[in-house]
Amino acid sequence: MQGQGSLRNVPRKYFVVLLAGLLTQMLFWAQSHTPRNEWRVVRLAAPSAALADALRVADDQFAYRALALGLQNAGDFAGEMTPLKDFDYGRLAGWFSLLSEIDPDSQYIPALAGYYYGQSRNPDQLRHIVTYLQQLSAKYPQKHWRWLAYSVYLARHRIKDQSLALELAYQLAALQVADLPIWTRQMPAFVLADIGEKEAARDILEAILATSPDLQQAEQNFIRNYIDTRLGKISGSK
Amino acid sequence: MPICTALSDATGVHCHFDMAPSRHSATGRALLHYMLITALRDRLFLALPVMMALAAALTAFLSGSALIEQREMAASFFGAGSRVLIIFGMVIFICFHIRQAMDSGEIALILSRPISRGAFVLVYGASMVIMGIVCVAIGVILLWICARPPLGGLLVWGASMALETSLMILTTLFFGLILASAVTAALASLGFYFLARMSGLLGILADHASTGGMMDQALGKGFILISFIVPRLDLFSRSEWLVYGWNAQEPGLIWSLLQTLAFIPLVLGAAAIDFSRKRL
Repeated sequence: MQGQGSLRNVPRKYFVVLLAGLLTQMLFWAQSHTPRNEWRVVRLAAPSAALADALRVADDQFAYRALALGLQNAGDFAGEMTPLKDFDYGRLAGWFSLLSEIDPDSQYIPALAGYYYGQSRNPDQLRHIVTYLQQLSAKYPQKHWRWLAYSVYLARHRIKDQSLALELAYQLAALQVADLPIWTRQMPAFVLADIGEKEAARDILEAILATSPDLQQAEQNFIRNYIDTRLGKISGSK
Repeated sequence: MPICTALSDATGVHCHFDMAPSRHSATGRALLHYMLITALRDRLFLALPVMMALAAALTAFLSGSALIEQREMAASFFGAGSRVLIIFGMVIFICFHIRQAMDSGEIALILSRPISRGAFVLVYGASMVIMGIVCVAIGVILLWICARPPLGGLLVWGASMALETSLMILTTLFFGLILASAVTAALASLGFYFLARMSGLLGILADHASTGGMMDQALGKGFILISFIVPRLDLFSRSEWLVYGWNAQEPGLIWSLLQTLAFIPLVLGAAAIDFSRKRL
């Protein structure tokens, strides 16, 4: 007959074995719960594209999301918190590039790189982020041109490398993307104004005014005001 | 004696069904009824939804910690998780169900009725496929509740998942009928599933190997040989449909349908041939 009988029918030696096992397990836990695997910042370099193909087992999106979440939580594991300065940004950038190849449409990895790992105060680390964002937006300008603008911000205000910021701003202004906002074309002028190249900045803004007859009145007013107040009067214009 | 009554006597499972005029369709319905009751007995329809609900809770927890795109994260996690749960659950259920039915003489009893072994394989497989589709429907509903993916993408994913599950159910039926051990059959089915999900990669490896040395070329030929008979499950139920919706330019669902239509006769034929010569 099936079903459970009374516990009283079970020989007592089995309970002794069970309790001994429980005690041993608790002793083991007491000794083993403190040592944790040491976190070696981003343990592995990004795998090659071929190995990544094998790892993702034909579900690209799941692999992308799982690895992306892993990257977000890298270093913060089992109660340990790793400061950003201790991360190997070269390896991180390798992972960012690999994952952006798996799903070029998602904003997750660039957002993680820019907004989270971009909080580092170390300019050398930030240069890896800027390079990744620059390459991403150059490869997929339609989807990711905003990250080039963000990399200008990183270079200008966080790395404080104005020549890098200017180079990125020129790349942003030159992007062949439909319906880019006008401020992307103004970006080199803002950087030039920052480094004291007011003449060049004024030339760029004047050129925008001259070549954009459909510019909204508010935009025109802003540019003229910027030129007047930050760069000096424009000769020969109204 | 009607088959239902016979099965009820043999298994202790109550099965009330009137025999319809058509002998095969009545047997089919009785078998389906029998399968559903045994699935209830084995707690399949309890265990799978509970496991999927737990997976949904875990998914919500994990995706809630994502920096952005939390809905997309939940959709892809639950899509992949429910797929693994459904396939693994059905494989394990079918393998042990067949072994139990063989050992208890239920299959021999069914075959004592005027039904050919080929028809038995067909009807048995169809009953299991219907059960698999019920499980997929539960998964789709939970996915909608958990992640609210784009409706078009969800429907296409659900249809593709139903095809993938059907294909794997019939493959498991084949292994379950030809192998004498439930554990061996389950391992063989899961190994086959893993290989089938990797079949796209096998093709890529074969292409790369063809430009290498003698050994690489032999390996490449081996990969091609394997990929001949392994279905392209990597084309099925893709998580990106749950994230970005159904992109009509992709041939995904058509490929899934064609692959299913091509593989089902192969696996059913093989199962029928082997089962026809089996001594019960």
